[in-house]
Amino acid sequence: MTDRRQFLQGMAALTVLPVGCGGGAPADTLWVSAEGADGVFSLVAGSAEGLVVRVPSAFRGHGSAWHPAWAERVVMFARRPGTSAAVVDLAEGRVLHALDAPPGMLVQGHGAFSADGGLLYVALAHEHTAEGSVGVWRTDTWAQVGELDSFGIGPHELRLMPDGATLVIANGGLLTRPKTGAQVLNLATMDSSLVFVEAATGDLIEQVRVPEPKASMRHLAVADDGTVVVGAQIQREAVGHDEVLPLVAIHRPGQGLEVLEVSELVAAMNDYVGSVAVSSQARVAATSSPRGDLVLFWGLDTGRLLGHHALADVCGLAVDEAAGCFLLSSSHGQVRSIDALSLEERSDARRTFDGVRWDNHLTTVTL
Amino acid sequence: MTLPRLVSGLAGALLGALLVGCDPAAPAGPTGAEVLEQSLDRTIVPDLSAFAAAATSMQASTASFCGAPDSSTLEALQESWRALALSWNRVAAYNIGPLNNDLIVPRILFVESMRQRGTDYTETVREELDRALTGDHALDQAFFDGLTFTKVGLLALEVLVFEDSRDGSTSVVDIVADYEAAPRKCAYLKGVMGQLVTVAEAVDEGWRVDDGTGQPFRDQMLGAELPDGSEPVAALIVALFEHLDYTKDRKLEGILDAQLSGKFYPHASAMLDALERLLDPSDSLGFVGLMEARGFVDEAGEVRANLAAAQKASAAGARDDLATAIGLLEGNLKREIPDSLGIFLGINFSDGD
Repeated sequence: MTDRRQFLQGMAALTVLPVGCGGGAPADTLWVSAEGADGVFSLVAGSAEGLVVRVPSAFRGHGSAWHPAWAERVVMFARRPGTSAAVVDLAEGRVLHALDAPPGMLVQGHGAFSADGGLLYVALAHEHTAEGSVGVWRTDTWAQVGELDSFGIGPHELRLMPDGATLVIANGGLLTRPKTGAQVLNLATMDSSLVFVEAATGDLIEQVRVPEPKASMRHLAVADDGTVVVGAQIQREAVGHDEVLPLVAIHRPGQGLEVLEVSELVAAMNDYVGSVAVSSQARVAATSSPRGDLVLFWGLDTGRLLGHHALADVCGLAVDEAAGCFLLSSSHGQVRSIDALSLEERSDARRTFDGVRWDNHLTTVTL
Repeated sequence: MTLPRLVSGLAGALLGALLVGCDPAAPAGPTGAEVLEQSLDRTIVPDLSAFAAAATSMQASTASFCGAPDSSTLEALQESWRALALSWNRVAAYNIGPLNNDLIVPRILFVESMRQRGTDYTETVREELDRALTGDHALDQAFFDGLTFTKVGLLALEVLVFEDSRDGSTSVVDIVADYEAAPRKCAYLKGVMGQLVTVAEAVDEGWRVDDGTGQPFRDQMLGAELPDGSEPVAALIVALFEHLDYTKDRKLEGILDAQLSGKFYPHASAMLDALERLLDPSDSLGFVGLMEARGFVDEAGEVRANLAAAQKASAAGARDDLATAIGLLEGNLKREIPDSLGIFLGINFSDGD
């Protein structure tokens, strides 16, 4: 196990190494993800220098959130139908706390910290009805102190908006139950929505939907100006035709939800967006599809498709704004860096982590 | 650097060992790397070359027919199409590398347009042919280069050689009369034929000589990693089960193709026979034999049983049974085969959230 001194010495050493899309950016960024298979799971943190730490977990994780005030700490959330989240200290290489969902509720794989790090918001759903809520935990005592309505079925990813007061939540609209796994039980009535909720009161601020009723909005990312990019997964068996449907939409402050163009590249995503990331500096969004082995890049302001990158079983996406790049991870252990402006790969920054199966989501942690 | 490198690497080590042939847990006998090389050199690459040869052969039949259109030369041309279609169905599952050379319009679509989303473009083919026959625009190389994938390939050739464009008659006498009445039809046939030859030769050359990267795709398959980051055996297995999925969902549970020639089931049998030669050749150890050698006897038996069931259903033209058997084979390629061989296919594409 890594001890804190080793970890900090190591990270200090890394800061002098040139890496990342900018070529000269300091290498003080960790790439954090859930990882594992066959009942053996962990949270892993890697860098351009290789695997930094692997922290075993009692569950298969999904998304993770970085503590805004405590740089070495992240929370990894269980994927459906898990009931836990793990507070991990990367420096100590161990789980500090295990959070459990309230009885009858399931953790939905994602969560976010409040701006000051004092609270943690976790997407939850009722185990039988999938009615959504947002559990609120204090981060000093790790006690649950509240629960907000998500105003929908099956909430998945949620983020804190730049105002620090609003949560944006993607309600996938899908009813699933632990006993039936990923089988969707409400295809006929599914109702996905993007919801803005006042974090302090739980009041609904805005709720928007895409025109296609069988599009499940599940993942999102937020730019510094409050622009939200959301990725959908089409429940094709309920659509009734084979025409290509939009998978990405943009919500801009004060405006509605703009559905982005459909093209053959969108068709190549095979009805599935698995992760979304946004570079506020470059004004570019990235959407990944492991079912298409493909990442598409979109202009935040124009909504236009700007480029793509093919990578087998890619899903994890993150942004390293300091380096000016998107980071892409695959379950084959690969991490690729794409310049956020040119959208060209920095092939010199390509890394393969033997034996690491990067799971669906990637989070950057800057020390 | 004092940072610890914590690499469990169990799966990676197994896969690496499988491919380089030094897996300490493997019994004596051919290694995974040898089986892969043998599969490439005895099945995949020769079958792709045979497809290119069949295209060239049909091109020759086209020239003979257009030089002297009569029932005899037309029947020879139709027989050439049947041979070409059979050879295609032996290789259509290898949708990696040269066949899948473009994200949007890969070469495979220019052979089998239905592959994109299961759409039957027969009417599109007929409409374009009608425009060509009634128009006076040049039917030159630039025209054929501009045709979209929906208007060319095996389907277009089937329409051209198996039906009378005037009334849809499938009588050989009527089709010959159609060509005699519409001189531009032979020019159109030659052009579409030429497009397919170009695609087939590019695919064959891509596997054997150079796929545009400076080396044959066959050699890249024997390396550790393909350009898209995938592991070669995993990429091959994914291509196989995606083809089975397409055959089941888009054809057997959707629209059967090759209806003008009446050859859907022979094509399905050709595909299954090629799959058997790839996975379980009778004269050497294949992937299924390797499973067995590694102790996964029941799993290997299951693959063999499902292959036999699919072949039997195809021979009998039993649509539902064939769909069921192909679905089971698809499951074998997703689970039993990679699990037995220690091959990791990826988790995100099949197990997302």
